[in-house]
Amino acid sequence: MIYLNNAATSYPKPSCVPEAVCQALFAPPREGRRGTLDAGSAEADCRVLLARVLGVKDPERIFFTSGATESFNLILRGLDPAGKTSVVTAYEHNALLRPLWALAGGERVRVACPDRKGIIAPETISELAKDAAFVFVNHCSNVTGAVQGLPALSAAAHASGALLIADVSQSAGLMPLDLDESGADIAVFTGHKALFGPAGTGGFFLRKGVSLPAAKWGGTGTGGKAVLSGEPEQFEVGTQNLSGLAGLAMGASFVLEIGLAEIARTVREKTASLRGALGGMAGVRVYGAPSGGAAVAFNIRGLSPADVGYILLHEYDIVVRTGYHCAPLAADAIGAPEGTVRASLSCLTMQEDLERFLQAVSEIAAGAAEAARCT
Amino acid sequence: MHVTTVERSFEPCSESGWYGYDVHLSEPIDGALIDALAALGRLSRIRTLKRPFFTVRGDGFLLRGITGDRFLRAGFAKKDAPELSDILSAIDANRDPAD
Repeated sequence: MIYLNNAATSYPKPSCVPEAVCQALFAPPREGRRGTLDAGSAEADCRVLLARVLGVKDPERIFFTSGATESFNLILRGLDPAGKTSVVTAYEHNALLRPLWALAGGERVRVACPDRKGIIAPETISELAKDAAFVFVNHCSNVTGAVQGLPALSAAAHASGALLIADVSQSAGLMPLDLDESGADIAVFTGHKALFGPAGTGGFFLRKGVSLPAAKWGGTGTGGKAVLSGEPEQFEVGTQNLSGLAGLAMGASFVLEIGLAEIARTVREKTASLRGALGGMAGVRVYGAPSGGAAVAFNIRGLSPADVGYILLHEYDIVVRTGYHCAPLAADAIGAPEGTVRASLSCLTMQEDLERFLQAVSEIAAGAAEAARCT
Repeated sequence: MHVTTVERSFEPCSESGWYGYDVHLSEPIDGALIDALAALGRLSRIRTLKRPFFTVRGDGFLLRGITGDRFLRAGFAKKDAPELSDILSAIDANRDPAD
C-alpha cells in the first residue's frame, strides 16, 4: 500500500513511537503530580520536547488535550465567543468551525479569503478584525499546504484589539516554529500528524498573561484541599494519557533528531516536485500555489474526487483523501466547489511511492480524457 | 451473480452530503452487469485502465465500481437510500438462472 494521507494522520510511525507507548504501558505509572515515583514522567518529558518543536521557551505554557478538536472546544468554551465577532480564514478546519458555529452562531463570524497565491493578507485581517474579539488563523492548510505568516497576521489582529488563535496542527513537526515570536496568543496542535504521535494526543500553547477561563474541572494533583483550583493545571484535569504522551514525546524526539529545518526542506522539495508533475499532466488541475505544507490538492477533468480516490485505492492500492477535507470553506475559496483529491506527504514518504502515484494519476487522467472523447 | 450483502460504507460520502453503501456480489463485476446497471442512469466508463472503471449516475444516486471486483460502491443523496432497492433489483435481474 502507498499511503498519501498524512495530513489526516501520519503513517507509518517511526518504530520508536509504538515502542515507547508499549514501554509506558508496561512500566510503573509516572504521573508527575499524582505519585511518589521520581521525576521523569511522560508528561514532563513530552512538554519539554514539544516546547522545542513549537518554539516555546517555557514548557509550562503547553497544555495537553486529546487533540486539536478538544483544544478548540476548551478554548472556545473559555473565551465564550457568543455575542462577539470572530474572524476565521477560509482554510479553517471543522475542529474549529463546528464548535465556533455551535457556540457563537455564524452571524458574527467573518471569513478572510486568501489571495491568488493562497495567502491571507494582513490587510484583510485588519479590515475584517475591526471590533472583532478573536482572529483564528490556520497556519498551514490541510487542503493546499498554504502557509500563513503568523507574525504579520498577529500584529494585524492585535492592532484591532483581537486575540490571535493559531492552528498549527499541520505545521507542528513539519517545519520550524517559533510560537514565542509569532505573536499568537494561543496555538492549537495535534500529536498524530507530523509529530508522529498516537491518535488522542495534542494540546495547545497559551501565552503567559492571556486569560483563558477553564472549561472543565477535576483532579489535578495540585491545589491541596481547595475544591476549585485556579491554577494552570486546570486545563489538564483527570488522569492523563500517559502512554499516548510517551509516544508523542518519542515522535517529537524523532523530528528533533532529524531536524525541523531538514524535514521542512525535504518535504517542500518533494511536494513541489509532486505539484509540478501533477500540474503538467493534461486534464489535471492543481489548486493553490507552492508553499511549505505537505499537501497537494487536485482534480482530474471528467471525474469526481471520489471517483479518483476509488480508482487509486481499488486499482492501485494508493490511499489519498477526497472531498472537503473537513475544511468546507476552503473548497469555494480555492475554486473547487465539489472538493478535491488530496495527496499529503510526511518526511518518511518514499520518492518511489510518489513516482508510482504520479504514474497512476497519469493513467487515470488519460483514461478519463479517452472516455470523454468517446462520449 | 447475486447480491450477498449490503453494508454502510466507510467512504466519506456523507461528508459530501451523500450516504455510501458497499454492495457485495457473488461473482466479479462483468460487462453484462454494467450494462444492466446502465439502464438506471448515465453510464461512464474508463476502459483504458488495466481493469475498467465505471460509474452510473442518476437522480439522487451514483454507482461506481471496477470490472473484476466483487463489490461496488453506491452513494445516495438521501439517508434512507430509496433507490437502493431498484439497484438491487437490477443486479438480481441480471442473475444467472443457474446461480
